[in-house]
Amino acid sequence: MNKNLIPQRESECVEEVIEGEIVLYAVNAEKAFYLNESSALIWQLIDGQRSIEQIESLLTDAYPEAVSLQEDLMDALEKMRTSGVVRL
Amino acid sequence: MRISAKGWRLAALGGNTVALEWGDQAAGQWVQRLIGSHPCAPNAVPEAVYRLHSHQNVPGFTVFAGTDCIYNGMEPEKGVHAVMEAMMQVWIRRCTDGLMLHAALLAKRGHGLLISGESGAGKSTLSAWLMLQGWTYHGDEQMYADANDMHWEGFVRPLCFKGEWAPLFPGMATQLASVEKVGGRSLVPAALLGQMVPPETAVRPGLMLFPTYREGGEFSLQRISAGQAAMQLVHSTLNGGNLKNRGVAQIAEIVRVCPGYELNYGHFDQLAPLMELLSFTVHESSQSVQA
Repeated sequence: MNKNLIPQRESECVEEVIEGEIVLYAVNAEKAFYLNESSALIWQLIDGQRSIEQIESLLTDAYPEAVSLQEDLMDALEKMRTSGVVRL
Repeated sequence: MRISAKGWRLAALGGNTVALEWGDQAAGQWVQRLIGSHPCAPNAVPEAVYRLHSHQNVPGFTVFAGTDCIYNGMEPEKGVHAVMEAMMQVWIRRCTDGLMLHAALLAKRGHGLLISGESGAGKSTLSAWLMLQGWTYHGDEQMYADANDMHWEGFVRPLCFKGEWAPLFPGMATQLASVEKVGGRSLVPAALLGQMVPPETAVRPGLMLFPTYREGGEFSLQRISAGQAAMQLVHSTLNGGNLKNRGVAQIAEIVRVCPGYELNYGHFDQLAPLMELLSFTVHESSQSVQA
């Protein structure tokens, strides 16, 4: 995945933050999706302006000891993309 | 209980009422079997009216929903089953301000235990077993959850078992005459499991359980996160199409106050840790209410 890509949230997504996790409801797809704490954090960093690289950099600063951060980020973004809640 | 020759009875769930009328004593007994354990509803204009009749001169049974005949045949239990399914559909369609869930509901000291799972997950079997442990039965299939004032209601229908159930509860083997069989399902009156009177209409949310039964399977009981519990409820919501964003906001309110657990089991003998958890939950909740 090209790290210069800028992830975009699908416009019609309603989110419920529940104890650090998020349940997303994609209005157009009429489906709900579950984001665990780390995916929820990534979701919250997707603002339509930050690139994947910038998101990774923010996460690395916040969690310098995380070992598989890049892999987790890419996995989460891919899941969000295939779920239809994020465009790349 | 004596049944009059003609009569009617109301049943409500989630604030929506249906009426069941009968035109003869035999039909009245079928109504009693179907909703005799459900709490009596306050007078209200019903959303649907069902009329049950036994044929007078020839064997047979007829059920009307309004002016539509939904059953006409020789097997009253099939007619009653048709009424039951129709009632549940009405409650789903008319429920626009709360969640109608595919779940069983039991309670103790006013604290509800929601049991949700796909068909065949063992909701009815676990409900029956919990009744024998002193829990009150509020339904094994469909319940209403109100996220505004945080109460739960169940449809206290006869327990509906798929497949062989009697060997699991050998104490009832002598009373099987009151069990109706419809299409491979057994409808077991709550009274057969010792619940002789209808329960209270509403209970407070206590705990949510998402069980999977596999014969001979390993036991596990694990707390799941609120987000995971929310997704389980999303999948259990029957009236999502009536609700804004499929009721996700209401579901979130419920999981914020009510813990969820995933249960895997293969035999009732494994369930001592579950009983310990439930006992603790009821006790703690009672303490916090008193405080």
